[in-house]
Amino acid sequence: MNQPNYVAHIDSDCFYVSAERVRNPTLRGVPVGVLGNQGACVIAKSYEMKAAGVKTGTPIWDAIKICPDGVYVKRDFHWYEVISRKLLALLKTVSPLVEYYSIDEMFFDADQLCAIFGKTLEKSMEALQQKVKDEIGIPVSIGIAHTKTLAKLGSDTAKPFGCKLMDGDRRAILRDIPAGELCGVGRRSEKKLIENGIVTCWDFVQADRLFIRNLLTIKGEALWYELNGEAVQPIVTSRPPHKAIARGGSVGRQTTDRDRLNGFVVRNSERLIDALDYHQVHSRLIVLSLEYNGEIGWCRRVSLAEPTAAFKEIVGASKFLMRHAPIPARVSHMHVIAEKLSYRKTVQRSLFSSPKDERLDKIKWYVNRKIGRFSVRSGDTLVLDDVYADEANEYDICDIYGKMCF
Amino acid sequence: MNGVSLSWRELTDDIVHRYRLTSICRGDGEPEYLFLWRAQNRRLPVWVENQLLILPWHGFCRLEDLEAGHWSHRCPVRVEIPATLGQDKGVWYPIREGINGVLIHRKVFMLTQVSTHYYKIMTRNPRMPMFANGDL
Repeated sequence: MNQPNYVAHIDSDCFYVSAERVRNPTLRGVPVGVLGNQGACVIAKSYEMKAAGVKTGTPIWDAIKICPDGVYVKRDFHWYEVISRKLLALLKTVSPLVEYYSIDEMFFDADQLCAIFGKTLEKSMEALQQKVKDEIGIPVSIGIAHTKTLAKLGSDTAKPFGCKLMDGDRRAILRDIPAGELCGVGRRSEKKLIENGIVTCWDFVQADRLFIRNLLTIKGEALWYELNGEAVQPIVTSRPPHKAIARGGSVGRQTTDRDRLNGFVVRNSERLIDALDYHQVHSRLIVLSLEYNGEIGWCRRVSLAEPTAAFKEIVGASKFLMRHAPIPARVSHMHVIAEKLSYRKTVQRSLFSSPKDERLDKIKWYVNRKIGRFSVRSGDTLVLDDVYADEANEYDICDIYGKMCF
Repeated sequence: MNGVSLSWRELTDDIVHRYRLTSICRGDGEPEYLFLWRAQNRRLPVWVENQLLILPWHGFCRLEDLEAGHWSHRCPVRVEIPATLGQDKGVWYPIREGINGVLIHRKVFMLTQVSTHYYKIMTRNPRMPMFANGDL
């Protein structure tokens, strides 16, 4: 597929809040905060709440002091996925190439926009923005450029509810944007850049390409090309195979209770098996990582006899790791990770393996698909009835498949 | 539970005039009417026989007590309290379909139940209203 002349990046403005406002119009114009599953912290907020001073991660008890008129909503990834997929479907009607980058961001080939809307590129962006607002109900910002990196900078700087064509004087545009704003430049990379006098995106563009490559590897070099208007990052319409799949996160209230932690190990393993089934892969290596009071503390891995996604093997390995995990402090987060993935159809079976009876796994899969996720689950998870009682815990952002990034 | 808010869309002009309700606006949001426990004239909107009335709010009724028959001698009638938002310990949150209550001699009691984990963390209140559709 040829690289399009123009690439667009569409970014939903405060996506979770906008999605909530679609189904609850009384929230429009009101400061809104979306709370995490525990109800303890603000994970997303409206521009009104941001203006009041509430930041992402602010505990609810601080947020209500900063913004007493704010309305606090429980997150609902099922609903956010509905809106996200509507946006994806709409974009596919105006572009032959659409990349589902994340739940609220997408790249697409913008070469057809003028023909579809019968307007200039600038006016076509605005027409598309209005079409999204009218048909889906969410505000978006759009950036268009010759490369994905520039298009994303365009939408980022056009927010909220703006459009920017990054086609003019690049210096005027890039000199005001810190290099740390670039997608792919993390804190450590930003520090390295600043130490070498590269503060803005324009400084980045002006730097020697090989110098950037030495500093930030080939990923930095790719950014250098892209900022210079040379497209090296194509629009990717299907997600490349995973190298590893993880399930986990917060364990709610921090705990040293081994029964409860064992319940979470099994819960996360069952979620992991769901993902392995979806991607039709087997795993040969299971990793368990624990964080104590929010700090990474312990991580161990165990190899499986052969690639598998069977409950008995995956959960057995995870529970084995948990039994050997030290609990010197309260555990706050846990992840169960499947590595060494291979497609099921291409698995090299061991000469010494015996045929597996996976009938129970299949029955469980069918029942859960028919009745609802976790309708049938391991008895080890009974200690987590409070977690399962809340239907919002059934679905997380990582359960929205097909996105390029988290 | 410290009170509820009802969108202007839910109230007719007749009710607003009859009960002398005053609206407020939250940010650039639509007008809404507050019914707070701390108000001098403590009252709640309530659907009674397909009619929306604003009646005195007399307190709370524990669902467990109601189901155990401890309120039977007062002949409580189950009613629905319409609400767009609820407020508990300073936290405002959306309500999908309203709250269940009981009516005794034209006085409203809000039904409460044990809080879910989420509600308890959010509001630090071990009790929460009995929402009309079961949850937030």
